[in-house]
Amino acid sequence: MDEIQALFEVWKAHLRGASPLWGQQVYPNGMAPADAVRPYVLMFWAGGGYVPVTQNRRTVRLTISVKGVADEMAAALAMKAALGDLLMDSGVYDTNPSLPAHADWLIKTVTQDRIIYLEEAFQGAQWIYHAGNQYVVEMERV
Amino acid sequence: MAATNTNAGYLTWNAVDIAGFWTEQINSEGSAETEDVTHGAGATHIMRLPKLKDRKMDFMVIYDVGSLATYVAQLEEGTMAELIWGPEGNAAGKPCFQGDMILTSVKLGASVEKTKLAFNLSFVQADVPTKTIEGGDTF
Repeated sequence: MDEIQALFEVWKAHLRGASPLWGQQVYPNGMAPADAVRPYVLMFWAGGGYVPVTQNRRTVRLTISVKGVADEMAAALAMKAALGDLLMDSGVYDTNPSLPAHADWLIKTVTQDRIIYLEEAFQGAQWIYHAGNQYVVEMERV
Repeated sequence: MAATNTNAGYLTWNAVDIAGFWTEQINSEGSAETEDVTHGAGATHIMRLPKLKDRKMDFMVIYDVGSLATYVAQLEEGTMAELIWGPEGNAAGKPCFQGDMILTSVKLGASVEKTKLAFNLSFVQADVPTKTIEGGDTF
């Protein structure tokens, strides 16, 4: 399976229902459904790919954006904090391994990176708030 | 044919296959001592002759959690053993280095930035190499 799909499957399973701030509303494709009700979590690929480690070994380092989208700034920032608690250092070789296992990819490390924060004039009428982080994820094909 | 950029090499140390664990770069440095034999009245340039040849090698081996036990015992400094390296693999006819080396330095590095853990190994020649790439030797 593709590494991005594998990671999204794992994170979706890990994050759904993990916080009352967003409940089951975790969307892994960077696009929330048109009828999605805020607050919700979005995750999407932001960069990275294969990194050479040894011959005959597939290792990738991906940068993934994960953010909460809410009608209030405080709610978005609370989601950012909760996402950090759930994801930072959650890989198998990290200090807080807590992610579900995947059959095709080993998620070795998850590291919080740049902050995401923006205010959006939604439909030109209402301010909505996006807050989260980019995460650097190192994975190896099993 | 083209200049190879392969990483599909063959590497054994003390009869243990570590080809799947080397990382970054394998460096093999041959050198030769020289003797100053400058002579002649009014000489304006140094003249030299070659003396004994030497070889150093260094490479890094990753810390593989699942396989460490299969090779870690070979990574003790002071080990003298045979090192075989084939940059293009070990098929018959491919270039080969083979010789006894002494593992003189073992450095294990870890970083808080979550870069890979790896053993940084340095070797010096212990005897006349059995085969050298420069000498045209092959598997």
